[in-house]
Amino acid sequence: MKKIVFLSLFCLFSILIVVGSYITWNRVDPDYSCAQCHEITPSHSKWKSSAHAGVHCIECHGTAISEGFHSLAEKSNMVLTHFTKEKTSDEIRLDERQILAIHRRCIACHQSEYAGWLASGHAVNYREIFMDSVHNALEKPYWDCLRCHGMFYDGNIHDLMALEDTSFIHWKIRDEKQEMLPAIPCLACHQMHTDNPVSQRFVTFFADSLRTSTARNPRIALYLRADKRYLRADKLPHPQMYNAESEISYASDPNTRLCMQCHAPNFKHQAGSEDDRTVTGVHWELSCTACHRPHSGETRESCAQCHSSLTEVQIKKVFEQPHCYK
Amino acid sequence: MKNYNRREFIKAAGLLYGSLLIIPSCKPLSGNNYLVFTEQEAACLIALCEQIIPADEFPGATDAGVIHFIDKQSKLRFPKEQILFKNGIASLQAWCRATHNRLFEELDVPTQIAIMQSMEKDEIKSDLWKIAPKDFFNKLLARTMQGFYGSPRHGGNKDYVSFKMLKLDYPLLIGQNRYL
Repeated sequence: MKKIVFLSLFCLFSILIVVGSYITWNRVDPDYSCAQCHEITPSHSKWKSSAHAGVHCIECHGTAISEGFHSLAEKSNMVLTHFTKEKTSDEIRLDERQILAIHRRCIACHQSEYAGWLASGHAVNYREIFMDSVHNALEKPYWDCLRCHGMFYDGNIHDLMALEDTSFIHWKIRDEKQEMLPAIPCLACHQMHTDNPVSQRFVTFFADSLRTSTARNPRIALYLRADKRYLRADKLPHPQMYNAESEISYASDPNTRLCMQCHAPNFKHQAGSEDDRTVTGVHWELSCTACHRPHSGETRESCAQCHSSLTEVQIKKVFEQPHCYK
Repeated sequence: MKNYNRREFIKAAGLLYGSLLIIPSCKPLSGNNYLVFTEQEAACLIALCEQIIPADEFPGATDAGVIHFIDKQSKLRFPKEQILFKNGIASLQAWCRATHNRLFEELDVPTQIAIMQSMEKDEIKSDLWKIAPKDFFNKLLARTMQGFYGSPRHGGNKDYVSFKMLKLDYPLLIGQNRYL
């Protein structure tokens, strides 16, 4: 009897120690837990100076048991890799399932942005993109489609779709579960852990200057599927664009640079070709986001923001004018 | 094996659990940002690489993160090169201290260039060098070029700086590929 009581106490203590240590590890400042490992130091320092500095690691990354067997296996592998110091990549890569898990966590706080995204064309799923018979009649899905649609897909276009049949009517997504997944999630344009100075008050008074502000980096970046890495929007190129033989000018802000990576012209960089929407007319130097809302893409109310004296009829007339080369 | 009675066991278990709470107060052992090199070795390598590809109107080897490329590749792909680099750096620093009374990275730029030219031509003859200076220089030259001009996926060419310098159309801007 004594033995049973002793063993029960032992088990109880062991469970208490394991659970207590685990909770402590997850709750303390990451400086003293997660960030102790050199593998995540760069990400940790960026997070510390980001807008998400108040959001604990586990809020986005979850814990070792939050995703069941998947997260347990993943975290165990991290620990094993850390202690064995075997050859491995020192860069943390997320698969599509993990990307979509983070996408759902973004939504939990950014409800307004989510509502906008949901109403936009960017909320398309794989089925709507890859099984669109009208589009497939014009172009066979190929590897480069995944550059903008399904950029986090863990495979190539032939893993995703059955394209063996000569008729486009029979081109199907192989895995039915994949069909309803979002093809352009939050992380397509937003990089986690971007470099940014800590936010300060905009206005700061100095003896020789009325006001100044700390320049902040854009919160958007392009995910380059080929390289499996992000490139911040302000570092994206500003390619030369042409109208027939003439070179044209257009906005060079980070938003425009990012948008045009997917709303892209043909290989000759002809304005208005293919998916390009380069602005023309009096608004030629305006950024895409001057008129389009960032998440919803809506333009309905943007005219009145600058031209408040215009009537509905006048705005309608303006809309009838060509505003881009397309 | 020592036998514990119940009281001792509870005390020991309590102590064990209590001591686990101390773990968070442990600070990281060092603030080293590199996988293979120490901060001092990295400072020397950065100075060497910057003289191979200096910054002008375009970013140089330092801005392109070449040091991180060499560090990463020495850890993951070419672990045998760790000895070459570490011996090379140690020899160079010992030689600089003996001849110039300073570390390599503390020397002025013309002197750094002159030393590197001597290394390239294998003109430095000294017992302080554990390896041939030319071997060290050539390996460093190759890795610096690879780190600067290669794809960022390997650890260098941060933000595609060399691609921009070369005016490469990257990321490739190309729309759909319709039949008509």
